[in-house]
This record gives sequence, structure tokens and C-alpha cells, in this order.
Amino acid sequence: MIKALAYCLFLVPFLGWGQFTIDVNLTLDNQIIGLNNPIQLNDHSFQLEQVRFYLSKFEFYQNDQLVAVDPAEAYLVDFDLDSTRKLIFPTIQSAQIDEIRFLFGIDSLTNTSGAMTGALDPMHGMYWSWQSGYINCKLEGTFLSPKREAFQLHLGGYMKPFLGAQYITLKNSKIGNTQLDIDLNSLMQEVIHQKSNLHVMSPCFKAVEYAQILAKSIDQKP
Amino acid sequence: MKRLEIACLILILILVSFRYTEKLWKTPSDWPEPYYNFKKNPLDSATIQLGRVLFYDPVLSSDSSISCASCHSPYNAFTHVDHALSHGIKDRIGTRNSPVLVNLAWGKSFMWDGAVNHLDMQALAPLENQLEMDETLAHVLQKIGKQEKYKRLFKTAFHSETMTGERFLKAISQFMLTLVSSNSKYDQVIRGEKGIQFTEQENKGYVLFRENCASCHTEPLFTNQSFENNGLAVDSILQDIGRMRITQKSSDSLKFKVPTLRNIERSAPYMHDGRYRSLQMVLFHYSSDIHSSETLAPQLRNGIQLTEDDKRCLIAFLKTLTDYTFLSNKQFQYPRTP
Ligand code: HEC
Ligand code: HEC
Repeated sequence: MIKALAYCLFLVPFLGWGQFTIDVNLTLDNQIIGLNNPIQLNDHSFQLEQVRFYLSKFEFYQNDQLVAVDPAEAYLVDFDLDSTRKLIFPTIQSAQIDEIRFLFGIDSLTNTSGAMTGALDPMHGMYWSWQSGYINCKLEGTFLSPKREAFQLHLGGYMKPFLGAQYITLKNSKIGNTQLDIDLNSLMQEVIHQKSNLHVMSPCFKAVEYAQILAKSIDQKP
Repeated sequence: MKRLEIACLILILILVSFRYTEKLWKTPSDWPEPYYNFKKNPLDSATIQLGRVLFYDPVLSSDSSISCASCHSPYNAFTHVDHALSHGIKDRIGTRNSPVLVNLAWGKSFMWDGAVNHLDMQALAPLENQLEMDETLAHVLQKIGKQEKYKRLFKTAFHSETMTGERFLKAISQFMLTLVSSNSKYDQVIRGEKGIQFTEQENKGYVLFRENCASCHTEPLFTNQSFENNGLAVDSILQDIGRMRITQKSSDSLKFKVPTLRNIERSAPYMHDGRYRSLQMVLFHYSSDIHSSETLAPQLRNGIQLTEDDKRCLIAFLKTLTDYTFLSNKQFQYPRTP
């Protein structure tokens, strides 16, 4: 009897009960969007060709008390690889959580700590070679109309005044697993507005501004 | 009896292995502790050997023509001789002079403008630079992943054949960390080794050096690791703004990392763009050719007053920084039996 119970308990994490998951989506005006499809925004249309970013340092809270810190350093979300859009936290019990805090990007300390493994391995192409530092977010695509034009945003920076990583706090209103939507509306409006900045490829004020806009566009859906 | 023998044997083995690991790193006496965090990448002879093989292997470049050693030759304290600006694949010419690779364990930042913040990340810069090796880390890992030699070397170093970017970079770091130069005549004199003394000329040069140069080229590393403008006129073609490229602060305009002067006799040409072919020219610069600008270091505002004799003495002193043990160290050279 006890054996059977222990067996069941052992299975719980594999069945997915209790473990916390986050599904990451890209949206535009609350519509889910993907890569390589024309997307309409006002009088412009564009397609996304590459969207990759780091989410890191997850912390889980209940009633403003820290309940758990995720042991994984970082997650690389790549919209070309569906499996990377689901973040799984096997040791976290979703029932306890009412707030999640994390970084959109990689913090300064990690940026200066030398070679790392896993998601942070520089072989993933999310590290600047000519100047040290992780690329927190790569967003690349092409405007299809009114004029064909490529855009390439590589957002990063770990040194003042160009601190790229953004602190995000989300209240988990509904208990259970969660969905994280990143809405590109504000960012793309700004990119269209700032046509002179279609290629942001190094740490600079523009990169920080774009990262801040993206951070504000992260919303959580139960 | 048998048991005792075995126990003794094990004890001896343990002691020997302790000695062995200890010998891989020794901070020279009276030097500051290294800045590199060895805890995250503990030196190990198999990993050093892997790093050494990678350092000398042209497979790191897109057309397999250039290795790290092409621009950093062991016989010249690991700099590129004769070339002011370093040469990469297909003879593409870079924009800067390759520096010596010496005492990197004490380095706080790398490259002339400090663009690289950690020794582990340094190898990525030439690897992915179009003018240098024009590769990507992922592709190099794919190429070496097919070679039996590297499967063996990774296995010995990491007890697994898996080739990750982290392992690759840390192995190259390990080899570079062993490049310690601390046995020049200068070091022997400072350590008070028997029978070794400065000549009168060298001694006068040392006094002049401490007065005029040591504020930036600080002993024992001969650099204070800061960024300074030492009064070089801007090259009108290269238009290199130095540290400002990284910080985008105008107060960093034309500042470059103070380079070490160890083995300086062997590392001509000099300065970030290799503009001076000789130490005579360097001293002519400091005494008579300082270019004034907003960010010029205050101690150089009026140039450094040096007579011709002073210059001879300074050069004699600088030559005492040549470390023949370092320059001829077989452990640093091309690995003949990888
Ligand atoms: C094409 C020539 C070339 C190749 C190939 C090359 N380097 Fe360099 N290296 C340079 C130049 C030039 C600099 C200085 C660059 C700068 O400051 O912008 C440099 C700088 C460095 C530094 C910084 C030293 C300091 O004190 O700041 C290190 C370390 C280094 N290289 C290691 C390597 C390694 C490891 C490789 C092989 C993966 C390599 N280099 C390949 C030319 C080269
Ligand atoms: C204000 C700080 C400062 C002082 C003082 C100073 N230097 Fe330098 N030195 C530098 C910097 C910075 C560089 C690199 C400049 C560059 O390449 O743009 C340099 C470069 C050099 C180089 C070339 C090194 C190489 O590897 O290319 C030599 C040689 C040198 N200095 C010797 C001297 C001597 C000798 C004195 C005293 C007479 C002296 N320096 C005083 C800051 C200083």
C-alpha cells in the first residue's frame, strides 16, 4: 500500500500535475502571429524571419514572499523551434504561485562571467563576438509594403548607460499554468515611426528603448 | 604486508598527483593574485593541451588557412611580427596591431579598447571577424566534431566527447593562461638572484622609467590596465576612437588600453596600429611628438623631457624585460604530437 503510494508520488512530476509551465506566444493586437507570414499593421505589412530572446532568473512568489528560485540560468526562446516556447519548471508547484518575476534578457553579472553552457553557450549565436555581451533579443524581418526593406534588431548591452535586460513582474491572477504573450504592436509602431533605425546591432540608447517597449508589451494570460 | 604496500603506493600516488596539479599554476612571488577566476575553469594538463592544439589549428578559420598563432607567434611573445595591422584570411588586412599574449591571467579586459570583458570570450572575436578568421563558433565545432583527434582530446580533457562552445572556449583560455612571463633579467634582479645585476645604463633607465612611465606601465605587470590617451596623432584613414567605441563617452575618446611592456624588444611594431617600428621611435614620440587633445593624459601634457643618453638608458632597461625562458618555452610552441 505504502509502496503504491510512493510510486504514485514519484510519478506526479512526470504526469505534469503541479509542475509549472509557461507558454510563450508572439502576438499583434492579441492575435497570435508566427514567422514567415505577412502581417498587416496600419498601412504597413511585414514578415518576421527570426525572433529569439532570453528569459532568465525566474523567481516565484506567494503573498509577496519568495517561494522558489528557478535553478536554470536562462531560457532561449526561439520561434523557429516550437519546443523552446514552452518553459517547464518541474520543481515549482503552480498552486502556490501568485507572482512571477524574471528578466527579459541576461543580467550584467552573467554577462561578465566567462564561457557558459546550455542556453547560454555562445555557440547559439546570441553572443556578440567583436564586443563581449549577450544579445538579449534578436528580431529580424522584412517590410513587404509600402516599400521592401529589411529590419534587424539585435538588442543587448550590460554596461551603464546601455543596460538592456528588463525586469518583469507578473501577477498570476489565476492559479495554474500560464501563458505569456509578447505583443509586437507598440514595438513595430515605433520601428515604423523610426525608419532610420531599422538596424540596431549594438548596445545603444535606441536598443534600450526598444527593449523597454518590448518589456511593457509582455502580458500574462491565464 | 601486502596491504601496507598498497596503502603506501596509493598515498604516494595521491601526493604525486597533488604536486602535479599544483605545478600547473604558480603566482610569481610578490605579484598580485590573478584576476581570472580559476575556480570556474580549474587548470588541467589535458585541457591545456586541447587549448594548445586549437590555438595552432587553422581549422578555426573559414578556409583553413589561419590559426590563432598566425597572428600570435610564440617566438615574438605571441604577436604578429613585421605587420603593423594584422593579416587574416585571404590576406584581408585588419584594423589593429596584434598585441602580445602575456600574463593574461591578470587581464581585466582585452583588446586595445577593452571590448572583450573576459578571457574566455576573446577567441570569439577573431573567429567571427570577417577580416580575420571569418567563421562561426557553431560551424567550427561541427568541423572539429568530425575529427578523431579532437574526439580523443575532448574525451581526455572532459571525460566526454561532447564539444560545446563552453568547453572549446575554456580550453583555449587554459592554454592562454599558462603564458606567464616572469623570468626576465628584470625579474631576476628584483628577486635578488645571485650574480644578476643591472648594468649602470640599465639602472639609470630603470630610475627614468619609474619617474616617467610607471604611472601607466606599472610593475610588475607593466600595465595598470587603465585606458589612456598617450598623445598619438589620429590616423586619418583608420579614425580609431579607441575606448569610446565601447562606452560611447566622449571622455574616452582616443584612449587605449595601456599595454604591458614585457618582451617589448620582441614585439615590434608598436602601438594599437603598429605605427612605430622601433623603440627609438616610441621614445621620440614621448619626448617630442605628443599630440594634444581633450583627453590627453595629464602627465604627458608637456611631453617627457629625455636626453639622447636618457633614451639609450631607457631602451637598455626595456630590453631587460625580455624573458628568454618564456620565448623558448617548448610547452607554448606548436604541438608536434597532439
Ligand atoms: C588575423 C589576426 C588574428 C588572429 C587570427 C587572431 N588574433 Fe588575437 N588579436 C589580433 C588583434 C589585431 C588583436 C587586437 C584587436 C583589437 O584590439 O581590436 C588581438 C587581440 C587578442 C587578445 C587580447 C590581448 C590583450 O591583451 O588585450 C587575445 C587574448 C587574443 N587576441 C587571442 C587570440 C586567439 C585565442 C585567437 C584564435 C582563436 C586569435 N587571437 C586569433 C589578431 C588576431
Ligand atoms: C599616460 C599613460 C602612459 C605613460 C605615462 C606612458 N605610456 Fe606608454 N603607452 C600608454 C598607452 C595608452 C599605450 C598604447 C597606446 C596606443 O597604442 O594607442 C602605450 C604604449 C607604449 C608602447 C608600445 C607598446 C606596444 O606593445 O605596442 C611602449 C613601448 C611604451 N608605451 C613605452 C612607454 C615608455 C618608455 C614610457 C615612459 C617614457 C611610457 N610608455 C609612458 C600609456 C602611457
